[in-house]
Amino acid sequence: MKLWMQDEGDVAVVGLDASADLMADGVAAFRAAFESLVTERLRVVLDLSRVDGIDSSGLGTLVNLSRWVAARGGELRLAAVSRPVEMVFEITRLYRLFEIYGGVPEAVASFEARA
Amino acid sequence: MEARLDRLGHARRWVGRQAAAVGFDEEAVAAWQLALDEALTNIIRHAYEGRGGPIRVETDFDGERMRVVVEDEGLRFDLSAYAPPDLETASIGGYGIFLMQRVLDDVAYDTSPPKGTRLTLVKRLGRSEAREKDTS
Repeated sequence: MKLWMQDEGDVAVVGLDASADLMADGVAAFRAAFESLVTERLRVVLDLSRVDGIDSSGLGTLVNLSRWVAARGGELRLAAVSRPVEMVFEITRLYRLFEIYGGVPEAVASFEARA
Repeated sequence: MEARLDRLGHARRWVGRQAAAVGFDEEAVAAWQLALDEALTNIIRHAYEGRGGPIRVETDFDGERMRVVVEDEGLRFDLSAYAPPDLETASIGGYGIFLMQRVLDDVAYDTSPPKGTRLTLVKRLGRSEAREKDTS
């Protein structure tokens, strides 16, 4: 699983190169790629538009990555959640652990608004 | 199929094709893919503890509901030890079975076979899906 990262001011936007599921068979590669790209960045937006589906392993990985960023005083925000992913967030109610925005620009702007 | 995480993608695509072929809509197809993924992940990680082993997956459709039966020969699943996650406190673990139960109509564990566990997953076609199927 390949990820890209793009700077929007001091916000790091991270997304998937190609559509993929964030499920048990892919979470280890996803987490490794995310951590190697994001390293010390504190303001991070994860673009989920190319994540077709998510399972409990994927949810756990997002929670752990959010805590990994938060442990350094940063914050991970989510953007562009697809319908199957939104369904899983709603069922588990884990959307409460994240700030989730409709699109990447809104998520980036949310950091700038509080700068 | 072999109980390996790298076989999950194939299994999700397979059940997605089966569900679409009998008339489930896009959201229900995603539900089937999620449910089978969670079922198989539990078997790979817990029944076989990551050591691999055989998993048999079969599906049938009676015109109203699709059923997927998943059988393994690993450690038996103890449903009495399962506690659903506490949604009020946003607990982090234990969502696999909970998700299966929420997106399907029935999830049944049977530990009466000589070895392992037989898991039966059932979901009915929705009204709109059944209507479309009748008119197609």
